[in-house]
Amino acid sequence: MGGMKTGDQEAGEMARDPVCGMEVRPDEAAGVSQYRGTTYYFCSPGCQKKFDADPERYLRAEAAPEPMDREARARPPEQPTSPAPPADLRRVDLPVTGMHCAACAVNVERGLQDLPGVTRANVNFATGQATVFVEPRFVDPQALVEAVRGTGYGVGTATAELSVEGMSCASCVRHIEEALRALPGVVQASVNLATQKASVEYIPTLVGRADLRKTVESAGYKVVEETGGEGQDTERTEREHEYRRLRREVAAGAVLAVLIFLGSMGHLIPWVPAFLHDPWLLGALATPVQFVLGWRFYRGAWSAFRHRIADMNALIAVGTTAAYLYSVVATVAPRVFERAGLGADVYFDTSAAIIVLILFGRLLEARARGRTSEAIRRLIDLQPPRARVLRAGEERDVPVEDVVVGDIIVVRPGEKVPVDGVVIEGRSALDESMISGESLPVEKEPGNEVVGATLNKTGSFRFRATKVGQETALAQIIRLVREAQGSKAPIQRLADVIASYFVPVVISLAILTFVVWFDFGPEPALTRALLNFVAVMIIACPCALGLATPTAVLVGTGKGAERGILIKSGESLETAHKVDTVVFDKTGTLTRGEPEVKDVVAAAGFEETALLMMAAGAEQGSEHPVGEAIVRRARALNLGLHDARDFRALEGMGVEAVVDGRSVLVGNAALLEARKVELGALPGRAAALSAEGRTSVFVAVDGRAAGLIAVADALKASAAPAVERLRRAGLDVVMLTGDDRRTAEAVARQAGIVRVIPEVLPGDKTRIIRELQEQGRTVAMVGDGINDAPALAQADVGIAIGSGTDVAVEASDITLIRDDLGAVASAIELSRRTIRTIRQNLFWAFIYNVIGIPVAAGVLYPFFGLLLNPVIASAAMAFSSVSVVSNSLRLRRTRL
Amino acid sequence: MTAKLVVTAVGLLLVGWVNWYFLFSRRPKPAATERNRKTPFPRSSGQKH
Repeated sequence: MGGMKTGDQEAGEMARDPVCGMEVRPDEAAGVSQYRGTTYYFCSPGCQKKFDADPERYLRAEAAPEPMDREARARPPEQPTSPAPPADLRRVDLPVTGMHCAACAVNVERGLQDLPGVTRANVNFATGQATVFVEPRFVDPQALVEAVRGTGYGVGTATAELSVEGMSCASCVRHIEEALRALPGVVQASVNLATQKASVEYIPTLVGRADLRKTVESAGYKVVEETGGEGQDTERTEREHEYRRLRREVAAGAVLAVLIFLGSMGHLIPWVPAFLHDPWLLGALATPVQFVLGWRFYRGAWSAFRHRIADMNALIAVGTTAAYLYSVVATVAPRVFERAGLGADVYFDTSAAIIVLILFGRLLEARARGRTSEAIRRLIDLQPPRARVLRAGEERDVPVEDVVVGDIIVVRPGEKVPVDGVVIEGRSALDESMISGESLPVEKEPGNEVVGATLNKTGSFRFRATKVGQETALAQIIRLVREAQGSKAPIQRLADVIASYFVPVVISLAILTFVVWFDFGPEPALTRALLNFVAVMIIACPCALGLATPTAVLVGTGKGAERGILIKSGESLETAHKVDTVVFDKTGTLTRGEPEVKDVVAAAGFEETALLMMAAGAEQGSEHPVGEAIVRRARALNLGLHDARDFRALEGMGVEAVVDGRSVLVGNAALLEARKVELGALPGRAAALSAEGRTSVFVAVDGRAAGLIAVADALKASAAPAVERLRRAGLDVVMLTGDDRRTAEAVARQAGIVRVIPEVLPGDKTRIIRELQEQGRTVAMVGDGINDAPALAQADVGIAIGSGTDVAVEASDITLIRDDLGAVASAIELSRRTIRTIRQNLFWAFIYNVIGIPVAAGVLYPFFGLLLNPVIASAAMAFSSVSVVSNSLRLRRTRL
Repeated sequence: MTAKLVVTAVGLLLVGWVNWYFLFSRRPKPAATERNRKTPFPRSSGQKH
């Protein structure tokens, strides 16, 4: 980029307009400006005016892309890139449309994986979403979109029309187009100078409308109006469109299939007119069913075939085509069969009925599938579309995407809070149940945080926006749920592998069925061989197999989200059902995490007030809850706190500082003993207090024991019932704490916990979890603090309490939004039920095939004369998909 | 009899081909190199479509 970066070129060379990026000959430039000793040339007076108004803005924009280019150039030309470090990978989510079975998902997956630079692709059939991990240097979203389209499926893109102001020349057009196309997620951008409109096709999961607007504005233009569908709506519209199309096709197909059926069976029904029996007419009616309504099967089968995949489309296409072609030959050249001593029967009714029944099955399935993702739609709908923002002293109603951090927002009674922020004026009660599940309204006053999407009940207030767009709590929740629903549970990978082997095996079985019936079957052998071939192909569709896991995961995670239980991935959901040991961190998890000073015991020669003052002075800089309790107590008693010098926190031990010129130590017995402080009778006193569940900290002043301060942390109201629920569910409950054994046991007793691991230093939590795992246990760890994060990550299932820190939430597998420990048991219960549902689904999906295939192949024929009519086979297959989806939907009614 | 032999032979050949084509013939994908590199992601602003 270097040479064209600035306009201070020698005459004759091309210079670059810093505003629109167009190449300009300096001697022909429409404008020239000087800035900081550099000359810049412009294509038009408009660009010059913009530059003069704010030169830094354009120079910054110019400089920004440079480091990336330089980096790209510095790389050796031929560089194998796998295995790439994960840090280089970028995750891209694409909405995929037009999939109708698990094999379709595998097909798209392979299409994406065949792309150089794609390291991993997961396609979830139930959510219609592809999650792709790419090396950003090699692949761009456009290539991914093309790869998906190449496999015969679509990508759910959205289109936005932006009315742009301030375009003066053709190079402005290019400038805006390039700026938009540079955004990852923009598939196509075209700007029309005449109409002053930019039309942008983009992938809503990658880029939002606000980003488009911001990009155009940072390129130096103004967006005055936007139209077009927002991402989610487009995806939904597309699904609804697909549903309506299916419905039309089923309706048309049903009419034709009934006519064909009457014509074929008509000799049994006296009132059917004779002309309907004509095989030529039947063929004419069956042809549109086969090639118009059934075209999707051919298209799907072909695109899968090119990727060396055999999917359900192949089974349906080959099966129905065999019946159709046989009938065509019997109609056009009946002699062929008659010469072989066979009746020239036609089976147009079979091929048509199969196609219509399978389309009908897909119609039912599409409807049920729409319902499985309702939870996330409800979350998205929580976001209010507009906000009342205070700008230039007046209230303005603006779209929520335009709210920026720092905006002052006015919320009236009955309105929703649009984004996250902090109250600055007024007070009110907010219904936060949609986010936290907490049913009682929460009082808010200046300084309190408010969360977007919550409902203002009583008063008016103003708040300052602190988090907007993708940063808000609601957006994070939606992201977590979406990621979980897009991920694959290990059990599903197994189903996918089976599905990929399944179809070739079925085709082989069908061919062998044909051969065996043709060679050894009773007459008419060809007809029977054909019908049984078709029946095997049709009954064995792996559709239900592909739906078994994702639909259950979808409903399970959605149900969890409704109850404030966010499950990070399908894998977490699956592991949680195996948990047999639940480890609770004590402070902040089982207890409120806000200890209170209960006793102050001064040693001889010290006063209680002075002791508290000294200790509080030393603890002022501490972030430990016990330290904070001591400071709080001193403040509550209006004791003046002296400044501390040389403050040091000694991890897991206590603190030391110089207060009022005296050296103060506050900490546990081990700390004081290590400093050779004689404790006298204090440890005995501490032991008595710890039996009541109180934790003592010792205070030493100038190397002499000054006394102890006992604090106690009240149990959360939900702790004891939650422990009881877990124990009833057959789980071992363990409490981890830094407290000494006596205090720990006293607290554990109140909570109903038998097993306690006391005196654990923060760094040891991970080791203890590992030890439990080495005993063969599957461990869930429940915690909230930053110091719990490593243990949460080590545990098989880390459960973070949502009132906790972002780090803990990030390290965990399950996040509980509400501060209610009962949700731990609910989460494990939800996991158990989801897995049970998945197992039932897999059972049903398999049983159809295990029973159906041998019957269709005619195994029962020699004994009972029983064969499976292909039409019955197609009805059974459609029913198996519907029964699996319905079974998953039952999870919605689970009580947690 | 000839018909039966032909159907059996064709059937077995088809079974073999189906299994080879769908199960055993997938090639490994080429590694990502500068040579088959697509446009970078995100595109640098100067790049044309």
